[in-house]
Formats: sequence, structure tokens, C-alpha cells
Amino acid sequence: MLENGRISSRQIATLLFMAMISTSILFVPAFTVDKLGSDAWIALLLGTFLGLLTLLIANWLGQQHPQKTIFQYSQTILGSFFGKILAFMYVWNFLRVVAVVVREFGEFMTTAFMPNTPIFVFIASLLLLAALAAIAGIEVLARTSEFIILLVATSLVAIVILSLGNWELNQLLPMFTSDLLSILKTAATIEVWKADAILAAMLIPFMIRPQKALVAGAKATLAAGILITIGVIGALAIFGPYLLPSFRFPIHMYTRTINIGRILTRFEALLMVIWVAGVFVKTSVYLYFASLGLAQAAGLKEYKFLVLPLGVICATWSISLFENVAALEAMISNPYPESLLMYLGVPLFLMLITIIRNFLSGQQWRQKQP
Amino acid sequence: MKNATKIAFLLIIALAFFSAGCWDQSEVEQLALVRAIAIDYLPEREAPYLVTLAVNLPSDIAGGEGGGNSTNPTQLFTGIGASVELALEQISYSVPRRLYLSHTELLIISQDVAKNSLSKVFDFAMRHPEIRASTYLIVTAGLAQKALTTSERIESTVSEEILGVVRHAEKTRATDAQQLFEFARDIANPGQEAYTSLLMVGSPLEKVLPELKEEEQPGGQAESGENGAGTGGGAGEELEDIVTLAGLAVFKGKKMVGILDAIDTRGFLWFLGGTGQTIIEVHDPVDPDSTVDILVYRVNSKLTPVIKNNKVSFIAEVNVEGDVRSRAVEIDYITPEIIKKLNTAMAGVIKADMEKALSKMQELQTDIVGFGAMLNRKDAKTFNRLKDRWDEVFSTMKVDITVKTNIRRTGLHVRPIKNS
Repeated sequence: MLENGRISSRQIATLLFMAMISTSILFVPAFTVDKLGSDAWIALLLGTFLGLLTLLIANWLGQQHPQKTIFQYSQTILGSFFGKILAFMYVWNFLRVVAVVVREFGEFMTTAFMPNTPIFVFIASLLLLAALAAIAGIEVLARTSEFIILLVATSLVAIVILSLGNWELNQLLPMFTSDLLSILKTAATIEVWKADAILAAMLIPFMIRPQKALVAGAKATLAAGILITIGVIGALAIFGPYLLPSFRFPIHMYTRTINIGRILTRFEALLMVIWVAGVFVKTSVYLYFASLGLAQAAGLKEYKFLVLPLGVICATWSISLFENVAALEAMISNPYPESLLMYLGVPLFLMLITIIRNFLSGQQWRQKQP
Repeated sequence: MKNATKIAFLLIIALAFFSAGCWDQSEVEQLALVRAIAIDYLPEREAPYLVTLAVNLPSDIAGGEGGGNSTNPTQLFTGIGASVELALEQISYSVPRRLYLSHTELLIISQDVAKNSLSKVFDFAMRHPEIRASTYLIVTAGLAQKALTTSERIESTVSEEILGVVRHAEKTRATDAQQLFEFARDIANPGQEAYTSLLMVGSPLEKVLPELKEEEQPGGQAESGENGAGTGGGAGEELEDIVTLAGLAVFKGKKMVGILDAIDTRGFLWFLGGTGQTIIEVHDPVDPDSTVDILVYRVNSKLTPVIKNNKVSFIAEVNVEGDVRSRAVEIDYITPEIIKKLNTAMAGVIKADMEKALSKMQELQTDIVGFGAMLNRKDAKTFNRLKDRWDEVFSTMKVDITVKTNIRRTGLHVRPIKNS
């Protein structure tokens, strides 16, 4: 075993929650509302259920193959060669997630707060921190996120409550104007459907009591989905469906409208807390699993020395991936077939094969395998 | 060895305190805090934008420590350029600190800007990372710069003074100042046009009224020895200009198309409801020659679209609550019957107000009430059919106005004090 840490069911919930909420809170409101107007919340809720589906599959696979991550049981299911290819594909995908997330982070910081600072400063410092956390292992990550979730959740709730005075519920109308297809399309974009639920397929083997994974994961997915939906509804109630899409970071604008008695203002700092802390957790979790997956697929004895090189790759990749912020936005606001395939298609495929083989051999797959 | 790593860690942490902000590091002492931006448009010039900034020193805001009292706490800086940004750049050539726009609370634009080139100015304000969406947008009748050259009378700085005037207006029915995001929302919403408050800069009333002037001058000369500088309004010292609210500037898209004066503004605000107070004067039902003043303090309004034979009309129901404030007739108690009559009279006044404002809006073809937006919310299909020619539809649309008034109280007196 490359990792000896153990996490509790509450910790898996916090990790999943943080991974789901941290990035979507900034970019999702703009493009969902742009495409769907006031119906954005439908897509968000729908996406949450898609995430639950992923979670269900990941959990089922995890229960079938105890003590194994998806990198390992893909090899038991598909055989060594194809399993390894699949594992490498996941590693590649996770590195890409890291690259995109740190780029989003950097873009937000430079656009909204520190326009003079080169974006690479943010990317490099964040990745350095994330690498340190990833080297420390899953247990440290889980405990860190348990502390950070307090900051994130309370700040988010505080922002929503403080902005209530500016809400105009009239702005939420007209509702139900968009067609089903565009709702489905929006729900399928990676940031909207809770693709991060796939992390469960890697977190479950480290749980003390894996049978509790489903409930904990479902709680996290629902909580993240509902909180983002509330955030979007709040932003809609303040800006209306026609103005909101013109903002790059609607939630940022939204916190900037808070002005209670001219004293309680300037809550962008809180938003920055949410953003930095959340992105830190998400980046370190993905970087950790990319390194672990690579080590497991390649049959290495140690993953730790992989973390820093992979971090450097991500840093340069994040810069070279997008020419400018417009390209970044185009990528995250469109459905990305690869992500659907990796996060929903492949787990489903693995599940089907397991079921068929169970059926053919007439017994539980896992009992055959040592 | 272990100690060495510990020390290294501590040093790295200590480093964090000195490198906060990276390239964007800035000290308060190096910032020029801009509180208000006034933008003028001088059409004949090649560089038409005249930008004036009201800059405060942080120490003056904090209470004038260290000699801050002796000088004017607000300094004005002016620049000119082909765009607002260029003008700002020109200003920065003569400011010893970095211009810091995060504390801007007022964006004052002149009528010329509003009529000719708002879209670029507005985009500048919304796009700038430092200017906040909660900044108030105000239009001035004359030069915007003149608003900042008035002097503060109650507040500590000019920008505070203007902001106070504007914000206080929310409790009245004089105007309805819009923050940038509200203004932007009105522009973006289909079937809704934007508006914001109009400010006038002029001499205070005591200088303008001829009766007062006459009183003042001989008095000022004769008793100058006695009064000294106390009155301040005499021949020696000029009364400085003040800012006054003057209704609403009305837009169509991002172009200002007209003005609603004080009465029209009040008429318009009845459509929106709200809690602003205002006084309504009606004829006394007992003695038509005298009048009764009624204070309105709560208004509920409801707009309902009616679609009949493919024609859109609206029903506007307004519920008004008020108090009797002053009455000259000496004969009567205020009986329920009288109140009933007062109610009807008041409803008549309000309805006339609203109809006047409505016809003004229809004449300008700007739907600042948001009838179209309301229709969009209630019946999106019909609205989408009419969307492209909504201005026309609005300009000929019928609005059925019903006003219900309810005078609840009559103040501390039962009846006027009389000679009995």
C-alpha cells in the first residue's frame, strides 16, 4: 500500500464538498444564466443528480473491490494492459483538472484583486502549497479540509444572508422559458454536474468504514449543489437574468453590492477566503490522486517523489492551455465530452463488465480475487 | 538540524508579512483615495472628457489628526482626455500618489455625457476592478465638475455631502438615485428603461429670492458692526453654491432622453410604491378656499397586465396611507365623513400626478416603470411578440389607474386651536 492513512466518513464528505463547490462558485453562475436565464437553477439541480449518479457507480465499484482505488481495480476488471491505459488516462485527466483549476484561480486573482501581479506567482505558490499537502498524504489533506470547510461554508452563508436586503425576487421571473435540450446541455458541462464525485472512487479505499461512503458522499453532493443553487438564485435576484451574464464573476460582483449602513461593506475578502481555501483543497486532492494513480499504475513503491514534478508540469500546462481568459471561459462553459466519458461513461462501463462477469462466473467477483 | 529547519520556517513566515500583495502591494500612505468622480463632455474639443476627482487624505477622514483641519480635506484634481482612462492618466501626472478608486461612492456625469457618450463611460465604471457596483450614479443638469466645487455644509467632505443628499432622498419622494448595478440591470432588462437622479447646482434660495435679497442688503450694511461675521450672508461674503435634487434623468438604452421634474418624479414614483414620504395638499372639503396637508408615508402599488384582443393594457392599483398634517379651517372636528372626503380628494390628486407622469413617459417613449418587464414576467410569450416595438406599444398603451387612499391618523390635534 502506497498510502497508509485512513479517513472517516465525515472527512470524505468534506473533501468531496470542497472539490465540488470551490471552482464552480465563481464561473458557473455566469454561463448557466447566459444560456438558460432564470432557469439556471434547474440545470444546477439536474447536474447535482448526475453527480449523485457518478457517486452511486463509484461507490458500487468501491464496495465490490475493497481496499482498491480505481487505478487498481481497472486492472483487475480490464486486465493489466487496458487497465493501466485507463489508469493513465485518469491521471492525465486529473492533471488537466489541476491545470485548469489553478488557471481559473490565477485569472480570478489577477482580474479582480491584483492586476499588477503576474499570474504565474499565484499559480506557482498555490501549486507549491498543494504539492506540500499532497506529499503529506491523504490524512493530512482530510484534516486540513475539515478546518477549511468551516471558513468556506460560513463565509458563503454570511455573504448570502448579508445580501438579502438587495434581493428583488421579481427579477427571478420569467421562469421556465428555456427548452429541455439546452438545460440538459448546460447540466452536462463539467463544472455544473458534480463530476468531482468521481473522487469517491479513490477515497473509498482509504475509509475506515467504506460502507458509509454513499451516505456521506450524497450529503456532500447535495449540500454543494444546493449551496451553489442558492448562490445563483441570489445573484439572479440582484442582477436579473439579463445583466448577470455580462459579469465575468457574478458572485464577486454580488458581494460587492453588499452595503449595509455603509459600514458592512467590502466582503470581497470573504469571497477570496472561499476561493483560495477551496481551490487549495481541490488542487491538492487532484494532485495527490494524480501522483498516487501514476504510482499505482506504474507499480512504483512510492508516490511522493512524483508530486513535485507533476506540479511543475501542471504549472506550465496551466499557462499554455489557454491563450487568454476568453479561451478559458469557452472551455468551461461548453459540454466537454471527454469529461462525461471519463467521469460517467468509464465507471459505468467498469460496472457493467463487473456485473456481466459476476453473472457469467456465477459468484461474487471479489471473492475470486485475492 | 531540526532547529535549523525551524528557523528557516519562521523566516519564511516572517517574509510573508513583508511581501503581502506581491506586485500590487500598496500602503495607505501612498494612496490618493478618490471619493467621487465627475465626468464632463466638452463636445467641441478633440479630447472631450473632462474628469474631476475628489480626493481625500485618509488622515482627514479619520478625524483630522496632525493638522488635517487647517486645509480643505477634499482636493480636486482635473484632467482631460479622449477617454475617461486617458483623462485619469493625465490626472495621475500631477498627483503624488497612486489614484485609488475603490472608495469611490459617487459617479457624477453631466447631462452632455448622459446624452452623448454614456456607454463608454459606463463600461469603464463597470469593468474597472476598483470601482464598485454599489457606487451611485448621478446626472447633473450643468457641468458635473461644478457639483464637486460646492462646499460641504454639514458633512466633512463634499462627496459625503452630496452622497448624503442623494441617500436621504430615498426617504422622500424627490428622486430615486440608482446604484451602478441597479442602473445596469434596468438597461439590461428588456421592457425596462433606466433612470437615475438629477442634481442641480445653484445658488441657495436665500440668495435667489428677491424679497430676501432686499432685506439682506441694507441690513448687512447697517448692522455689519453688530453682527460681524455671524450671518455670513452679507455683502462681504458670497454665499456658495449648493447642490439640490431636481428630479430624474430618464434614459432610453444608454442615452439620456429627458428629464422628469419634481412633480413628474413624484408621479412616477407612485407607480413603484415604497416608503418614501411626501406631502399632498388638497382642498378642504368643508371650506374649498382653504387647504389640508396630508403626509403620505406608505405606498403599495401593483401593476397587472391585461391582454384583450391582442392589445396590452395595464391596471395600476395604488394603495396609499397618510396622516393629516395641517389644516386651517377652524370649525370642525375631523369626522369620519370628512376623512372620507379627504381620501377621495387625495386619490384624485395622486391619480392626476400619475397620469401626468405617465403621459410624459409615453411622450419620451421610455418605459422606466418597467411595464414591459412586468409583462415579460407575467406573460413572456406576449412580451416576446411585442419586444422589438415595445417603445411604440408603450407610448400608446392604456393604463387604468385606481388609487385607494387611507388616512389613518390626524396628528396630535383633534382640531385647530381657535379663538372661542
